[in-house]
Amino acid sequence: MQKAQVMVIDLLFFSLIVILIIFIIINNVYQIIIENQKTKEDVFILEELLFVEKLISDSNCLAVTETTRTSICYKNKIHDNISEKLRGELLTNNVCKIDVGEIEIFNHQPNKIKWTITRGVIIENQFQKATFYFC
Amino acid sequence: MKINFKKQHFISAKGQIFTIDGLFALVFCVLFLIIFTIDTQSNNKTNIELLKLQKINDLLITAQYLNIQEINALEKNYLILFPNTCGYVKINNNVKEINCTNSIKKTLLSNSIKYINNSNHKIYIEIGVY
Repeated sequence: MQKAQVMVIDLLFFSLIVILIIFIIINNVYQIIIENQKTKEDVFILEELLFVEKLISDSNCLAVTETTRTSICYKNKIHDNISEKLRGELLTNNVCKIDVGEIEIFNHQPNKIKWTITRGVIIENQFQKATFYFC
Repeated sequence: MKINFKKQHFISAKGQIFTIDGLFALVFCVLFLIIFTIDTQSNNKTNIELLKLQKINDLLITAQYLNIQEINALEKNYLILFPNTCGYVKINNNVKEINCTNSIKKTLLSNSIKYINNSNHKIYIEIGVY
């Protein structure tokens, strides 16, 4: 009876240790997977932030190049013309709508809006809020 | 006799063994809880801070382009981009806090710009967001 008790305790202790080790291994693997997913999501968001930055600062996108100063474009000073090339780029990067103040300068079926990025821009010599909707 | 003594000792220590076993089980449970409740917040904070900094820079660049010299005009623009966020705007020596009533000031993100305007005056603009 006492031997059996010792055996039971021994078995309990052993199984406890085994379960603990298995749990630690599974937990570590699970955490690595979660970390990878989060890193991917963060990189994805960062790409979207940088794409919006490009939109308002690149002369080939929305930033204005003034006729009096050729080849110099003004960061944050934008116009509302969306070229065909830019349209394609917007769709590739999942931008489905762009609002500048009350004006809607781009709209492509904004069904499921994931999130928005708001930036400050100048349009027609006025400070306006530009909202980029990502679907 | 010796064996009997050992047996008796074991019997008297039986409760202790079970207590130790119970303690191990408790430690295991606590470990289980701690590991599962570890804060798994993402690095989203960095991206949010980057967006805040981009907005601050937008305000500074546009302020220079629009030649803003009045603190109220800058405050108006600040409120367009940060409608609920506590922060401050500064033009030369004038400082104004915005949305800061009853708010906790934690991490400050700020940037400044210095330029000479059309009237040859030095303008210093600083914007901070908490």
